[in-house]
Amino acid sequence: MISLEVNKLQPEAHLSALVPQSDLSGTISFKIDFSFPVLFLDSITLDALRLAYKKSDRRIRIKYTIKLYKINAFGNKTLREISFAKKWVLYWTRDPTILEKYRTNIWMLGVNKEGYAEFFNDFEEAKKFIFKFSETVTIAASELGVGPSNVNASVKAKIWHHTFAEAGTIMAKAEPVTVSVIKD
Amino acid sequence: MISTQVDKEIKQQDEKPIKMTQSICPECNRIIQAQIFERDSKVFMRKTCPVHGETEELYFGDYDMYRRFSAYWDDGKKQEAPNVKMDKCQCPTNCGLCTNHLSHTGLANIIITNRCDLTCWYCFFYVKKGLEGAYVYEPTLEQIRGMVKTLRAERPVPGNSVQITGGEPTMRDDLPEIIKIIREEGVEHVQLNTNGVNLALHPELAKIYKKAGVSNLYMSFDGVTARTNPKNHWEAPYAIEACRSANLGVVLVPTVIKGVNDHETYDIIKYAKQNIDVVRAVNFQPVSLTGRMSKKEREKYRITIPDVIKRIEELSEGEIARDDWYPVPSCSPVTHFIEAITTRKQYELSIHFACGAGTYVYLDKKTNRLVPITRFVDVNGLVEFLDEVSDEINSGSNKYLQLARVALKIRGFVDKSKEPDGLDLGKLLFDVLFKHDYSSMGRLQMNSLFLGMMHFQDKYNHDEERLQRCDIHYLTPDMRIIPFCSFNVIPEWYRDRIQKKYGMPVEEWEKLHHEKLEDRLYRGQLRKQAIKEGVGQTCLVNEMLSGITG
Repeated sequence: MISLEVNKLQPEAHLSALVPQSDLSGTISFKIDFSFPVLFLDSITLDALRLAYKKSDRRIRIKYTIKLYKINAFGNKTLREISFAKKWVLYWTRDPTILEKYRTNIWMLGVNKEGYAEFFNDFEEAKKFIFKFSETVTIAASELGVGPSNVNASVKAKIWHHTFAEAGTIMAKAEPVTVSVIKD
Repeated sequence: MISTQVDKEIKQQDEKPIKMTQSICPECNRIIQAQIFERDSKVFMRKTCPVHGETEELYFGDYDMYRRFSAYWDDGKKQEAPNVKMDKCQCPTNCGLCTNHLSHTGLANIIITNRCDLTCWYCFFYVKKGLEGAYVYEPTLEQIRGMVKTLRAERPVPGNSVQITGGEPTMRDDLPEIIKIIREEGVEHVQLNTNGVNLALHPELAKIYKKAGVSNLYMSFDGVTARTNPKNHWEAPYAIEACRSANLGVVLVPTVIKGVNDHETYDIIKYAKQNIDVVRAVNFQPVSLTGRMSKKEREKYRITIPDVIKRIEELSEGEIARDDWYPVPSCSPVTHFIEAITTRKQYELSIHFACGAGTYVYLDKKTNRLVPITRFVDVNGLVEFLDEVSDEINSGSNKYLQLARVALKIRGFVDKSKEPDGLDLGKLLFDVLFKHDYSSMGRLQMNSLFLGMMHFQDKYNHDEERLQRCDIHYLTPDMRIIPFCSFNVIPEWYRDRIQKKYGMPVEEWEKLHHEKLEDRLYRGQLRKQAIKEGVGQTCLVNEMLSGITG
């Protein structure tokens, strides 16, 4: 079993402005997409999870921190910093369809950032739930000021020690986007 | 016929599948697939037996609560020394506990007799004279010691909590000796499940049992009126008084049936509040529908944990709301934290989230209102924080630095401005987390009322995922440990078979003991006396009701 060194991974983050222009009294929404690298996703197999379960390694928690900031010539201005956790709980399923499809009795349910469970019947869907996200952040246009602004986002993902991964933090920085605020 | 089919199809269009599981056919016990799905914001189970057809049953009365509760799912530690070795999981057959059972014993029941001093028509658990194959089951002291030894041999966590049950266990004159045996074997918590009648008639028994080592009484209490609580309405106040004198805690146990006593759930809590010096908890048990029942009948009486929680919210006008309740496995982050710092496997409540729920309420002496713990403790924040600290320690962080972090931060989760007068929960939490012993847990509960829910299964809503995680078990003379919902849900495989094997025919028991089974039946003396003296209609009931309205 290979235990991945998470710190060495290069994840990807992508930032887009849903509406790139707004009045001063309006709002601007940004969409931030993030994913763990393919190398990491490929290493999360049902065999790896079965072993984790056997070793009582049954809760996988990832803490994400998104920082949205305006790029200024004299330093950046933080617009929003949002933290949330997503979880997997590994459990012994009695679902005959899972047993038949994946030949495993160890399955997972997700816990979203609001603390509610998500149930899956597809493994890729379950991986997408925890290792990827798409988050929309809305700010008041007045926070940027009149004129064009360069805005960027960074994402930090922290994972703790598991049988299939070393503890570590990975960071990704998106490409900046330009938005424009006009007077009312 | 056609319109029924159309109705069914329309209904199914509004369904959202959640997951699949395994269940049993309520007619023939065949293991079959079952679908869990949402409809009208409720969760249902549907299963089809190839011989006996389809069964649809309400599984959990609120979908939102189902998703919130299931987030605390936590499989337990399994058995390191199973009594029944199994390669494949075949619940509910061969329970014992087997290799595949996921929870260690949280509470072990020992039936010491199936005789009872009451003859409640709805009870399936006492020996009924005259029935063919009626057996008196009373394990010997040696057998009881053997059962407790089996419990203590559980690994990785030896069983530490026993409930003495029946029938009516106070029918056995050697009960103090039984209690002592259980304590001698190292069990710290011994609970006595009783209808309270004998304690009402002979108050000195409370002191005798307490001295022998009983921790608390677990007393049936189905309502605050004679109509809803025919079992011990007249006797319960006397039994509580006997326990008060003996300084013996009481847990009130109402079985909740829709349309029968669900309208009194909050009154029961108020009655407990009035006796908070001696009543430690109320543990509501939504009814388990045993025997054959039509769908219509089941719909009439079926009530699930969320339904009871919502009923209490409605009746208490939000004093105890739905968000104040957490599923039993929500305790796991505390266990995991203690395990991370001690590196020893700890006692854990890893039952299925749909089996039980609870909350703590504290009496604010200024306002005389009950304040749920969630109103002044950031429970979600605390759970998240403990999860993170455990993760840090398990990832190699310095344990002592993390402990210092907890010590510094723990009181921050308590809002002192909203904390009930005279309570210092921050300190109590500190003691539980750092001393992590039985007495710290006890002190946490001393100043409060624990409100619990425990929904035992029946053949209609039986879910093997729940059974596999059950931690309320029965100890049997053949040295097995059998989950509650196998033992009682399929009595023909477990309870009845064991009682027949280790019991004796009623006639034989009567000959041996020179008494008739009916000799010790309770004839309602206290009720008759109360009515005769007019006390029942005045003092006793008024006292009860003043407790409720007060």
